[in-house]
This record gives sequence, C-alpha cells and structure tokens, in this order.
Amino acid sequence: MMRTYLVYSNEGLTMKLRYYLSMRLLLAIPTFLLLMTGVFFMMHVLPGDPVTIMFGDRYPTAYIDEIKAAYGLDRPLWDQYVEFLQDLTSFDLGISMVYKVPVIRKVRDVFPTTIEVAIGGLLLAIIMGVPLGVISALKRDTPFDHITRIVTLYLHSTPGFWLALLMQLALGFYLDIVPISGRSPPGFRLTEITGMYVVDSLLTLNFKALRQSVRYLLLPWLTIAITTVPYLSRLSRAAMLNVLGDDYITTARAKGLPDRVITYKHALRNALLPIVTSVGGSFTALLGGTVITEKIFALPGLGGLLMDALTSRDFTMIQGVVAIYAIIVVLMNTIIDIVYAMADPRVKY
Amino acid sequence: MSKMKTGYNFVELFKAAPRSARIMVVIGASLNLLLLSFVFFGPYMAPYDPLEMTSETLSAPSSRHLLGTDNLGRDLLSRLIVGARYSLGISLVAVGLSLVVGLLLGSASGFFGGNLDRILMLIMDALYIFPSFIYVLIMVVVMGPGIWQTAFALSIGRIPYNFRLIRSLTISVKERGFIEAQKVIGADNWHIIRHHIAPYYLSVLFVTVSLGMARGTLAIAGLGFLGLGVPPPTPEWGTDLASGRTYLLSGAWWLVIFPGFFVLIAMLGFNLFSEGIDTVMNPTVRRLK
Repeated sequence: MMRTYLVYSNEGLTMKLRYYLSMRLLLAIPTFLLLMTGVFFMMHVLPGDPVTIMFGDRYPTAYIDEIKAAYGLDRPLWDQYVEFLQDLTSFDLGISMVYKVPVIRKVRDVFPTTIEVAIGGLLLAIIMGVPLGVISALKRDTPFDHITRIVTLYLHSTPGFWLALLMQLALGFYLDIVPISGRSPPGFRLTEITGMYVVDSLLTLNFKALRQSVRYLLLPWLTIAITTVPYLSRLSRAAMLNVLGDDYITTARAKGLPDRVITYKHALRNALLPIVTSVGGSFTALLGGTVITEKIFALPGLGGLLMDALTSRDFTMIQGVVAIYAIIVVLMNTIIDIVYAMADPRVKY
Repeated sequence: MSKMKTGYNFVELFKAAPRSARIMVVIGASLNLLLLSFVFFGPYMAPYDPLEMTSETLSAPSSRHLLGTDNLGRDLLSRLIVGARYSLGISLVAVGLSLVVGLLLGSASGFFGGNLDRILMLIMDALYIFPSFIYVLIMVVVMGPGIWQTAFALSIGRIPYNFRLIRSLTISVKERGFIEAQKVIGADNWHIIRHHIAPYYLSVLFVTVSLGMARGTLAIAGLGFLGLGVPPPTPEWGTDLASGRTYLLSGAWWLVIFPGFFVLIAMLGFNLFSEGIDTVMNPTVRRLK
C-alpha cells in the first residue's frame, strides 16, 4: 500500500497537479460565460432600456436614438452579444453609462474592499467554526456539545444585518470601542499596493495603519463570521462524527493508539475533506451577504457600486460588477477544488 | 397480496425519535403555525390598523402599544403581525414555485441522464456557485418592485438548490436495489411510488421546504432592508427595520429590535423544524450520527 505513494516521483506529481490545475481552470470558463450570458440577456431582453429611462422625458427622440447608437444599443441583440463576449476576452467591460469612464476603472477602485471584507470574514469564520464543530463532535452529547448546538442554531437563525446593527449600537455607539462605520479614520496614511488596507499595511510594515484598518474592519468581519460560523461548525461536527464512526478508527483504537493520534492523524485529516468543500458554499453565501454588510458599515465595495448601478440603470456597470463577482466565485471554487485534490490522495488528477 | 405494512408511519417514527428531535419538531412547528396564522389571519389578529397614523409618534413600548409605535405613530405590533403576510407569504410562494420547477427539472435530469442532464447540470452549477442574493437583487430591480416579481426572483434563486437535491435523490432511487426487488415480487408501479419512492422524497422535501422558507424569509427581509422589497407603506419586516434604523441612534431601539426579532423567530421556527424532522424521518442517518 505504501508503495503507491512512492511510485510518483515528486516531479511527476507536480506535473499531474499542473495538468489538473489547468483542466480545472479551463472548466471554469463555461461557467463564467454562462453567468455572463445570463446577465447580458437579463439586461437586454427585459423592458426599459437605460437611455430611455435616463433621458426619455427630457430629450427629443432623435437625440435619444443618437445616444443609443453611440452605445451600440440600436444594433441587433445578437451583434451586441457577440461584441460583449469579444470585449470580455480582453477584460474590456465597456464604458459606464452614468460615470462615462471605463467600468473596469470603477470596479478596480472598490473591488479590494469587498475582497478584504469577504476573505477576512471567511478566515475568521473558519478559525472559529471548524474547531468548534470538531470539539463538539469529540465531546458528543456533553453539555458543551448541547450548548454549542443550541447557540449555533440560534445564530444560524439570526439575520446578519440585524446582528450588524445591534453590534454597531452596542460596541460602536454605547461602549464606543470600535468605529461605527467607514473604512479608515481621517488622516489615514498608507501606500496603496493592493488596495486592501490590511494587506498593504502588512506589506509596508505600517503597523499604525494596520491597527486602524483592523479596527474599522472588525465589525464587518464579525458580522460575516458570526453568520457563517453556524454553517461551518455544524458541518464540521457532522463530518467529524461521520469519520469517528468509521471502521479504521475502531481499528486504530484496538491497536491501542493514543487518543491524540487517533483524533488528529486519523479522524481530523479525513474529516477535513468535506469541510474544505463546504467552505466553497459558505463563501458564495457570504459574498451575497457582503452587499448588505457593506451598506450597513458604509464600506465602498462592489455591493455599493452594484446598488448605485441598479438604481441608475447603468447597464454596463451592472454587467461589469456581475462579471467581477463571477470571477471571484469561479476562482474561489477552483482554488477549493485544487486544495481538495491536494488534500485527498484518492482524487485522480 | 397480504396487507404488509411497508414504509411509513409518521407517528411511529416520531415516537421512536430521540427526545431532542421531538422537542425541536414541536417547538419549530408551533412557531411556524403561529407565524402562518399571522400570514392568513394577520389583519384580524392585529390590535390596530397597521397603516393608521396617530399623533403618538415614536412612543416606547407600553401597555397601549405593546411594541411601541414608529415615526408616523403606527402601531409596530400590528405592522409586524400583518407584515408576516408579505415577509413569509412571498417566501411561501417562492418556495412552492422553485420546488415545482426543481422537481420537474431535477427528476427529468436524474432519470433520463445523457445530454439533457449534462446541459442542465452546467447551467445549474453556474447558478449554484454564484451568490443567489445578487441575482435576485438584480432581477428585482429589473422587473420592478412588487409581490409577485419578488417571489419569482426568489424562486429562481432557489431552483439550483432544489434541482441538485432532487436530481441526486432520483439517481439514488434509480440505483437502489429495493425498487427492483419490489418489481420482482410483483408490486405494481403505483404501489412502488406510493410506498417506496414517495416516502423517500417526502422526508427530504419536508426539510428543504422548511430550509427554503428560512432562506427566503431572510432574503426578503434583506431586500426590504436595501429598500428593494415591497414598497411602503405596506408593512414588511425588512423594510420596517430599514426605516426604523434612522431612529436607532436617537433611542428608538424598538423599531430595529422587534422587526429583526420577528425575522429571527421565523427563521428559528423553520430551522428547528427542518433539523428535527430530518432526524425523525431518517432513522438510518440518525443511527450513523
């Protein structure tokens, strides 16, 4: 049995992983295209074209037709669709109909905020949720397990935006230990590299900026984490219990292995696989939640840009924001698949 | 054929379930029933007219107004009771709609397989990994505000989930030996569907409907909170919460606490029920856990 691992030389394994990686990335392309096609037709087939909505009652029809022609909205839908796809391949998301600047420029400004909020929240949720679920499983049917399950069920039912408001009120307003909203204090100084304040301040070793930006992100992160923890911890508990009931655990116990070895080497490693998969699902859910979280904490992210674009019917901007969300989830899911493949030697590349 | 007791007896399963699961089902079901009675009989149960404005603006909870009044002097408790019709009613319609579509597409995909399955899977997978709240948001804006539009958008958000579930169920039913075994001993199709396939689906459907209601309620409240729900003055929990938020820092805590609490109670009811019923109706899973 041990031999199977030795058959692959290290080089062969990396080659296979590289092949698997490129295959996964290739498979992500149709998913992305499907999502973009969906949003394109949603924007164009449904009634109310942007130009009429924006200028309809103020300008003569001739002028409106001229604007439509400028954006190519007068051409057949199929032509527009083909051009849309062509532009996508060169990351050209078009020109915003409201701001009159390339969509990609607007998106680039706000996208790091959303990533920072979402990934930070996810990491916090993993750090809190997975150990909670695993410990709960190990201490099955003890008071700890019962209390954890009741609390997570309760948190699972708590609307995130409500929780965010309560935390704002309690921690930000009454206790005044964290800022209520915003991203940075006045007079905040930081050399921007990635646009993510926490990452940038770490890269430039600017610890004052790090402390400040973390203080501002604390409530958004907590909001996201607390609403994601129940999902992760319940799943981790189930995964761990599932593994603990398996035959090889009984074998390990019969061999007289110490509990610690059984728990960490045999059980936890195997339980991690379904947990890794579930992280993908929870990321998708929490990314949707960032739209509301960003609004509550007045963070300038993709959610705010999307809301603005929706209210002003800035169709190109809506498409652009959806494209970025799609890229984020597709990449994240691909990364998770790859982590899964690396963690599980049984996965065939 | 002698009358053999096959499959399913809810009462027996319920009696055999562990106490914690029974408690969950009972509490969850009673919360759900209470809220559903608000959906159907809300206007008769509310102490005041939810739209009637009075001079008592922003008054704190008292014996006259149990949960206080809002900025226009409307009774909050009445608004929340009547609001259940919109917050939960829309979710109910959306769950029903998504279930029908999910059942049709999912069972077709799982049963026939082949290219149909491949294409449907590709589409559903793409929708599945994309945050449903975002496309629901876009659809609601594009279609305009309204009860049916919101319900339709929400149901689209839920379809990929139901599709995947029904598809995998269908495949596993197809592959299980017990259907074939029944055919061999001469059971007719109707018998098989009633006693072997339906229970199999039913136990899962109970859980997804309940979970779907929880998700839907949250999404509607979220849309309302973003100002994209049912337009005012219609009472709706999320919309009320968002408008109450303006008065939060001036001390009117009840306008935020209670609408959120109603959402929490609704979701708690659905979550408790689905978790409990899952344990009750799947004894095999219970034994594993």
